[in-house]
Amino acid sequence: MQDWLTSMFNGNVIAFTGAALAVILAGMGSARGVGMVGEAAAGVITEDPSKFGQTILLQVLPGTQGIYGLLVAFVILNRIGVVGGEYLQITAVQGFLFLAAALPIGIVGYKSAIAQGRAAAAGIGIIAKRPEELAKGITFAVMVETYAVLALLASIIMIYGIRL
Amino acid sequence: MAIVKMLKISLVGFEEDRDDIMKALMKTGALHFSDMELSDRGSGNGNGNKNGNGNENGNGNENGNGNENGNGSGNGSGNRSITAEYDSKLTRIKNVVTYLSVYSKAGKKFLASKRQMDFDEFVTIMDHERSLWKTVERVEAVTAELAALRNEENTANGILAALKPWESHALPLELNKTGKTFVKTGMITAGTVAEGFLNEMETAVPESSAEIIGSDKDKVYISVIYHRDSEREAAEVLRAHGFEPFKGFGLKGTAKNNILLIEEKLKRAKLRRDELAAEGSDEGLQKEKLKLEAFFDALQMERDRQAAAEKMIKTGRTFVARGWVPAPLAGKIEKLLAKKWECALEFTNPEEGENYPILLKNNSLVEPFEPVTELYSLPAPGKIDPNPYLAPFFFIFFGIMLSDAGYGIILALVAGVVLLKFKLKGMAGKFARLLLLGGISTFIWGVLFGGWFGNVTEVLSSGRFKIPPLWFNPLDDPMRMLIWSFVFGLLHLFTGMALKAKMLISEKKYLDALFDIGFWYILLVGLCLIAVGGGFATAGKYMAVAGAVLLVLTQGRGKKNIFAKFFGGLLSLYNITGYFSDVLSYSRLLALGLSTGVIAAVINMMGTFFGFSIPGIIFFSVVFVIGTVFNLIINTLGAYVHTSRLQYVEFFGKFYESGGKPYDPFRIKTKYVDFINDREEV
Repeated sequence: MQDWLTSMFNGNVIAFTGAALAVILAGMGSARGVGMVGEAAAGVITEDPSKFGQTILLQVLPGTQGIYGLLVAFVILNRIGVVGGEYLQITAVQGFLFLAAALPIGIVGYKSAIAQGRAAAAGIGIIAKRPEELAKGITFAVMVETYAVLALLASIIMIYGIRL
Repeated sequence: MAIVKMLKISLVGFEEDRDDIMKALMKTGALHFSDMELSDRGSGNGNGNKNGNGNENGNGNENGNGNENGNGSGNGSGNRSITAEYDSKLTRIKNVVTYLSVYSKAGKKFLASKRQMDFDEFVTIMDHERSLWKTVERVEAVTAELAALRNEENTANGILAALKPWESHALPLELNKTGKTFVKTGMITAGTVAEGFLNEMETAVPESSAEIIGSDKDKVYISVIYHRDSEREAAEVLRAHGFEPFKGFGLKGTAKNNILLIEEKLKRAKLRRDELAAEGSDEGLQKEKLKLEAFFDALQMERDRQAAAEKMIKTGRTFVARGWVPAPLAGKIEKLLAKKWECALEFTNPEEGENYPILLKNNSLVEPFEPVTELYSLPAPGKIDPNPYLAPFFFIFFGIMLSDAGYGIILALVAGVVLLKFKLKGMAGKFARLLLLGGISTFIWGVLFGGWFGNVTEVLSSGRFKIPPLWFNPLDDPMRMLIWSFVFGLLHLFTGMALKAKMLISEKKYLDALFDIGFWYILLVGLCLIAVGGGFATAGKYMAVAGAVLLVLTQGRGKKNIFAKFFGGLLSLYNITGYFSDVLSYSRLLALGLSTGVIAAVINMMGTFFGFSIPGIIFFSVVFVIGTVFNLIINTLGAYVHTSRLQYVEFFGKFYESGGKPYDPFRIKTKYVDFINDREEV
């Protein structure tokens, strides 16, 4: 039992949890967002298959949060030496710091990917009716991404701010 | 550089020359017709502001079959039905060409360039109109038959699927009674209940013979024969099992026979389809297809001439047309028309605030960036063309966001090959050149940041060999990169503000330029100096305070009383948050740059999973190629989209006034062919 508890509060375990959460949450959000746009896009394609290129442009937009999640996980693993460098044993406090640093991109990434998916799915309607205005539809969706970028920024600053 | 000056042209000519004049004008491709509205006709002073709906009109027509062309001009509806007629003809030809191109030997090429055709040859195509329509009808008959066949096959397949379970049933399908018995065939619900069915039938109706013919996931197919006297008992058992009679589609004979018949029918239909397909790939017809393409374009030109004619006013003997020509071309048009025809031409400068069509002209380095603006919205008449200012920032930002030398080389090479191989015109060509420039910028930044396919050299040499960055690696020092992102952002924003000042000055609003831009500069530069710290901080403090005070004093100047002025000024300081969030937005330069590098590194790491044995190297190559293509596509798209966003939201937000309608001259628009040695260049 005690063995189990100590391992739970092992710094590396906690840091890994953080990295995992960044990938899981942001990835889940992106998957949902991309899926939503795909559903909307499929409807347009049944009418006009030549619009595939334009719709795909909108569909990938909510995918970036998942990439940011991976990025944060990678940076965390990089810092504790799982990928490249020397494998470090960190303290529980440091582990929790990594966990906290992973939360911005995890949570904001999850929510913003879905919100961005909604905006992009609405943009699919623009492609259907006024394909020449695609850039505006993209801009609407990209506005949402700002917050994922800010969350990513916060996560990265925090990760690099942790002293090992 | 910038927006091309337009002259308003008004042309009066004789009706009998109209067709020839239109043809000549179409060839020059320089005149943008404006709609003439009812109000224009009476006054004749050409109040051009009212042709705002000309814009939508032009867009709709571009697709050739602009069904939604909401032509607002109140011209004779007779003309409009003529264009509608053309549209339906064009659609028919297009469908035929599309059908034939499926069977064309050349196949469908990606980004196929248009076929080159001699203009003189092209002109003769209309002489074959009758035989071409025959071809169209012939192909249409084929497609109609194909559709009918497909329909037939679908029905047959449906019946076939329903008959399949009955294949081993020996009784004819139509048999439902004999002299003394009833025959029931149908489905009962599958499951545990079905197993007891035979026994139950046996006990309830001894004078019966039940047979299970087949079963699938949810149905059991049965046939029961029972004596007419035991109808009630039999019906009871059947009902308990959810019996559903088999309809039999009105077929006669056993299921097996019918299946054979239908299969035979399907085979025949397939043969017939192959025959029809062979006809489609028939060489003669494929040759006709080329003619049809030219025919389509010729008809399309005629249609456009009709549509343009709709925008004119006609009297019995004369016609009046109005439009716009780029000022440099006015002389040539005049010469062309005056030489051949009796007509009155007049060129006038646009009036103040008149909404003339926008044509952008920039040098070859800036031109590739024009689609960025065009996709947003063209500048309003008399305002600034943002492209020359946008271009360097787009170039730099795109490169920072991708920032990988290897990716840059690939991108530039792909764009270069596409440009050389396909003669892309218009938007597509500009985009390809944009990607070429973007690739070059990506290469430069990749060298500066030390990204070569992520860290591929390091991974392959197990850390022994590393290409060092010329400047620094953002992954090692993200804070430094973040600060540089903000610096680039500030430069971008300050440029936007300077352009706003330029606009104000050109409108002779000198004080507005000083108050709204100059004072903000003082405040913002002061704040930046404070952020820099050290000796600059004190100077920065004074500047910031001075700027803030000046802003408070001047920003409320639109208000009437003194208190409103003061509070208006004070409130304007709140805009600092706007500038702050604008600058923060440039952190995406760091974020996207990092994500390219990190994903590339992840790919490389995944690739070396099996080490450097021979299978390991093969595995690495596969992972590397697939991963790189994926990463390149996703991140190029990301870089383009986010760079555009920085232009649209942060940069344009500072100064840009959009809303111009595109210059869409009356010209030869073709879908399939390009002309060689045709145009008298203007």
